[in-house]
Amino acid sequence: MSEFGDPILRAALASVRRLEATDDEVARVIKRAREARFTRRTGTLIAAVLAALVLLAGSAYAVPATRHVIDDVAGTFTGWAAGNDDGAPGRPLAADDDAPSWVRSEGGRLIAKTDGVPLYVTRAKSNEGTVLSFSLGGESAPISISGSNTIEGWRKTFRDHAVVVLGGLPPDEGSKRFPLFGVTARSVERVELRYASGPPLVADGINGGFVLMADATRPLREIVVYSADGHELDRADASTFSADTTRGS
Amino acid sequence: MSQLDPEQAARRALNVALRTALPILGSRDAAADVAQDVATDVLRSLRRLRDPDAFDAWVYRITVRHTMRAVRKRKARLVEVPLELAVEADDVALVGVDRDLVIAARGALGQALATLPARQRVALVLRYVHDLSDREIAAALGCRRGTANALLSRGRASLRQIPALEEIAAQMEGTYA
Repeated sequence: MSEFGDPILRAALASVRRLEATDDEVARVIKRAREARFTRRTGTLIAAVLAALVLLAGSAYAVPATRHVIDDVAGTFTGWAAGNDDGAPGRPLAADDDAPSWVRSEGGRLIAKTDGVPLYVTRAKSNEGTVLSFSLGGESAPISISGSNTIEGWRKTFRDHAVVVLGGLPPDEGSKRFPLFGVTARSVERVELRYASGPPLVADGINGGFVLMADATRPLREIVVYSADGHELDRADASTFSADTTRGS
Repeated sequence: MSQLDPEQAARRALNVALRTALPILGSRDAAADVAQDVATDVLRSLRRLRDPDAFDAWVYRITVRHTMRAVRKRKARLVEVPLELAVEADDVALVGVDRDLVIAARGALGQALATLPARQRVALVLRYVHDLSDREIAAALGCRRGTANALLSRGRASLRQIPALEEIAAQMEGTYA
């Protein structure tokens, strides 16, 4: 071949240059990008819908703050959402944290981790304001769910509560425990999950959030949170997150 | 792109990815999947892009990453590249070659591209579809400029070994000598 190169290659590939994405493809990707913040990457779609419903129900069922609430969940995140890293909840990601790539790329923070199940928070600017996203599960974890809203949107949920349960995931078939997760006021040091009967599940050293591996065989009753000096700060209903409920039966 | 409007950004990213992935993967559907992934990544990180002028280079990098990933997933099977899209008058006028030669080259190139290593395919597509320079191709592939140049040279050299393309080039030379 005496001459071969640019002219023939350009001509052969010229039609590719005219390829255009369709309006449907553009619309789909915009929708997908919006929805990407609220996804469950494993399990069934039904489980995802259930988890989302349970999350919403959790907000609705959170009991009014009637006890020694001296700050609220909104206070934990609003300063950080505004760009102030002083007193930010949790800790920055470490190199060996199994954070989803989008959490890492957005400078997320780890606010709780139990039995290898992490809870992350990220902040990101958007046209609607700063968006806070909470994501349960790591990049390689078999579970992953996240929820996003603007800080103003979260404020309605977080205001005047020292604890808000964000969600609970349906336990896998045959599993005896499942993650129940939420966020807390700065003053919360201890979270206690009370069942309908029997001893509670307790987590100490809280720093803005919690992941509790709840007993799937026992009906849940409520979450009670305490300050470092042992004062009860708030309660939130947890009965809707019992395993039977999260399974949708 | 001076303004990073999400719809505009999505369309641009989709077009870049489609035009890159189609000749490499050989399937509009597979290219569309890659394009969706690329554009989704772009939209999700758009607000983090500080320099709007870097948008194209950034999209090319993301496109190459997703395309190479798709190639790895599909490597177990032979991919035939269907470049049977209509030949427009502009294609011929652009390069000043005969329409029949363009059609013949298109068919032969479709099969020939599939025989090249993925990085050579990507380099050729970035050059001959997107008109990127060696430096821009190197940035998209995450390699040195010399490496990008070598990928292009090797790709072209491999294509020269394809009998059908050799014949076309010979005809081209005879016709336009």
